[in-house]
Amino acid sequence: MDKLFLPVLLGTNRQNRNSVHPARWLVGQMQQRGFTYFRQISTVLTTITVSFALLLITVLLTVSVNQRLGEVAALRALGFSQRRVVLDVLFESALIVGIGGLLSLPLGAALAVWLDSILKRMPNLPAALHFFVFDPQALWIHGGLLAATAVIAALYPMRIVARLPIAATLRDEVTG
Amino acid sequence: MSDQIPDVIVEAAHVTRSFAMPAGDVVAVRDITLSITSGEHTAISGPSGCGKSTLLHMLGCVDTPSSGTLRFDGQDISALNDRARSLLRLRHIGFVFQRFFLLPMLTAAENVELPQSEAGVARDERRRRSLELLEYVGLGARADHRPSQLSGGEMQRVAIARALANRPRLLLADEPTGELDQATGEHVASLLDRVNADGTALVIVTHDPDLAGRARRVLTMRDGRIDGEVRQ
Repeated sequence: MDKLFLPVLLGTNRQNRNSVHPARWLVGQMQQRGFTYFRQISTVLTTITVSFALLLITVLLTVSVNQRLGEVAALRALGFSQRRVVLDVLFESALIVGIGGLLSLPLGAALAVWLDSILKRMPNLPAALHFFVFDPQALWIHGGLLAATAVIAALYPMRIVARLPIAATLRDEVTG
Repeated sequence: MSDQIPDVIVEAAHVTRSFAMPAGDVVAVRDITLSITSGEHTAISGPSGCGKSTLLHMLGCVDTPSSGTLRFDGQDISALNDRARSLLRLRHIGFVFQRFFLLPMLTAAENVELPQSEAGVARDERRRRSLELLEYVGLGARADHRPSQLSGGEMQRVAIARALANRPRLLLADEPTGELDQATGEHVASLLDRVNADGTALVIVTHDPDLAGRARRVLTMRDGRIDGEVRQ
């Protein structure tokens, strides 16, 4: 973190605070650096969120697939190809991630407006300044992250389904 | 009786199936030779663990023998890859399981449509065929019901309709009445008899002597071998 930025936030750099208003100085610093810190924090939060989502969806899909091994084995016995049952798992992952991704857009927009209004309560900020500005490129990044999450989260459950021994699974389902 | 020689659907020659276990290999099926011809009604019976289901799985091409030869329509199953075996099962073999294995989120009609969808049948034709099959098994009025809204016997009848979806030549049933009470089991057994009478070869694995007794050919297994054969 920048040595100048942190003291202003903590209110300990008296020299700077006395000469320029801290909020203006802070905004000046952020504008000079293209809101680098803000973006870095945003990247860290996104990485953490995506990692947790990935883990959660992998666990959900794995549990879901493990509960349906008998049905999957039965479908394979009835002639469903390995490719078809593997693609079904991928589709399920895409569906979960897709629904979550779509819901996240209005929720994220509402959250951005709310946070923006809080941050803008700082005194002496220019009225035109916004901390959250919609960038169309973000939609592409959002879509890319969702697609990557759907595929990576489905890898392990797809492997379970692909390697499922049909006869042994049918036998185990009956004998318990 | 017809003078025509029935064609062999599946033929096992000196088939053995063993499984590697930590304590050593377990042989489930030992040196079995048999053939199933079109229109045949066979029951395989015997005590639990005698290898009946393993033999059925091999006849249904979901498992391959450790040694010996298994041919379906003259094709050596061991020489086929997974994709080819799946296609063969899809087109020629139907399975009925003890635990039904219907997809709970789908209706009865949708469950019956599934194998047809995999076979690439057009949507309208799938729907028509599914309703026709549900009528055939006596569940025409329950087409839009989900499995949770059906009784055990009804679920098994839907499973039989699903197994018949792609007009298989061979229907394999593994303990089809195992989870049903006697009256419901009797109903399902009668339906299977009718399926066979309509031309589909039927192989049933069961330890129920009454169900086995309905077959024209009864094979008894013990310790992985065919211990006896009765034709009636």
